[in-house]
Amino acid sequence: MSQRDQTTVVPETAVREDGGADTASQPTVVRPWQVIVEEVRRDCDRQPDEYLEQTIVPLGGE
Amino acid sequence: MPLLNRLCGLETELAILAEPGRFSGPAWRRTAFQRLVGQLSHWTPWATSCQAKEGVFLANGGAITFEGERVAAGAGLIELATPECRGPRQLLLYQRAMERLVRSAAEPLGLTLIKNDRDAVGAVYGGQENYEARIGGPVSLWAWRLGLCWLIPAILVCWACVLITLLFLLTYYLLSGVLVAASRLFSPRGSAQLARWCWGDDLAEGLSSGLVMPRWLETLLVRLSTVYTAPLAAAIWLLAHATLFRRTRRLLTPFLISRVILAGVGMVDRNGRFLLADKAPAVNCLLGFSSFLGSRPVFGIGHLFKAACVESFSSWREFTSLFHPLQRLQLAIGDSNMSEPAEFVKVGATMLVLDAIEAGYFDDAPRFAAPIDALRLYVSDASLHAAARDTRGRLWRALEVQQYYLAGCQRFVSEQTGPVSDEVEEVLSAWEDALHSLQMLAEDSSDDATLIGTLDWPTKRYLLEQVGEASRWEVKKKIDIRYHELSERGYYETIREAGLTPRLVDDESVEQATRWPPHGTPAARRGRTIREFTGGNIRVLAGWKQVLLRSRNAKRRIRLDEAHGSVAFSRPRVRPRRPD
Repeated sequence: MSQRDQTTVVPETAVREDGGADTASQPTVVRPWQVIVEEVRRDCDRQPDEYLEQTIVPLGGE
Repeated sequence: MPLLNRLCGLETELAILAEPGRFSGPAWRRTAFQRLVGQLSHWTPWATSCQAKEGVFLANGGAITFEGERVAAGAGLIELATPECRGPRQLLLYQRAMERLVRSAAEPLGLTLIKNDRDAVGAVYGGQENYEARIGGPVSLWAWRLGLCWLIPAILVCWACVLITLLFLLTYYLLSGVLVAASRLFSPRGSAQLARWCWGDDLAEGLSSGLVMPRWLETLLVRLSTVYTAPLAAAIWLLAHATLFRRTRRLLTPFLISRVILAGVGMVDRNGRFLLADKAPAVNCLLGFSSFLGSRPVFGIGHLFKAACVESFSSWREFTSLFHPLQRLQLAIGDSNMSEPAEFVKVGATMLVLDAIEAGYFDDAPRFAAPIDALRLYVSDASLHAAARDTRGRLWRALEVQQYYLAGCQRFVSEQTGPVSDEVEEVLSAWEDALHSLQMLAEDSSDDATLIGTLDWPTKRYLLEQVGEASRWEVKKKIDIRYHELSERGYYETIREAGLTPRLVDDESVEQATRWPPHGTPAARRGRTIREFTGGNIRVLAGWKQVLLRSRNAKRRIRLDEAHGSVAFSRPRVRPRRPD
């Protein structure tokens, strides 16, 4: 099993499984990479064409 | 000289993304930059830049400038430049500090900055590394100096062309003014359109939108300047190619080409293929001016052109400073890293290799028959098995090239007679660990556990794998770009906030670095002068080599390149101006 699939004990400032910031004083058991992957999956499907259009740099260059 | 002690700095161009409805007009990026600079006052004192680019220098010695050669055409990037630092950890700290400052200033304006190297349609920008390095041996140095003297007539011709262009502009605006005034007599509406066409929105309508001239005139001036500076640029290129950093460039090139496996940020190309680096695929030559005449070099010399042709116009010392045996070696091949370990290894390993080269090591380094082809081969091979041929016919994988340089640096460090800093050991250890993990990945393509969250390209590739091979190109490209957003929505920032990536600099140190300059560099004196004099009756203009203090009755120029700011800072005496 690779590190990213392991259940990890993270300190109180880590991301909860529901995506929110955990402010509990006790460390919480979460699967952080899974949480992040889910966030990325949800976000990257939202209007990717529009996002790419907005991030174009006309004639960008050094 | 102690190891890892040369001056170094990072320049990073950031793309600008605005919330819908917050900014409008073709020159909105310049307006956004100006408002962002206004916001910076809440965080740190700053002084207006006296360099060619519009921008400001901060009390920590760094600079934030607007990279906008074609403002009327809608172009514009925000460029962060760290203060001059010594050592990779200090540089990493100041890079994070600059990012924090600019992010803090951007967020209240509804702006998001993207620290990447190319957009969805392939426009390339991004980061550059700068290292102070010796030009070469006595023969190269004197050949370089002699060549600079021969350039003086060409520089004077360039200045003459600039003056002619200014005269042309003056004549143009006078004549067009007469034309617009005359047209008002016949058609007020038509004359407003004519004024916009002749002068741009700002002058025609009394706006400050950033459109200081019409787009067609901007295009004409850019093309004209390209034509009249081309002979000087060609002469500088020939001189640099023949004399500047010759040995260093030759011995450093294989290291830089193979460094993409450590410090590449990964990208999805037009065909949906995953490449290890964002900027390297666009590289098309070893030495060049970075985008001037279409060149995308490994080693940039655009700064030499600016010093010789542009900055020397305001101060001849900018030109004579090019005669110094230590000059800025600019690397234009590197990506803008999000990962702290990747940035640390990139800068640290490069500085160690430079130290070793200047100490006489690596003369037996591999020499690729076709270095740019080798770079493209390495960049396109995530299996890390691709091998490029050197001039002796030997095939080298990128990992093998890196292992050769690591072994050479380990030998170089072990042969040092004096004490070696902990930072040197940290660089060697981080470099060795990264190469070991990459070796494991090369042997087993699923063994990437230690690389995800540590190096950029394996982390980005992992995120891309999670959405599946069948996803649309646009979805993959969004992941590719949003990975680099300096915001809470940025994918790498999310990973960092979750504590899933090693942190090499702590928040408190970063906070300090947003306000105070690094010691023992020109930045120390620059930063302290800005902090001391900004906000009073004295106007402060700052640059990389000098700070100008001007009041109604007095002026003072403080040089920063003398003693590298290592002397104790003393309050400069403001010399009274002679009565007219």
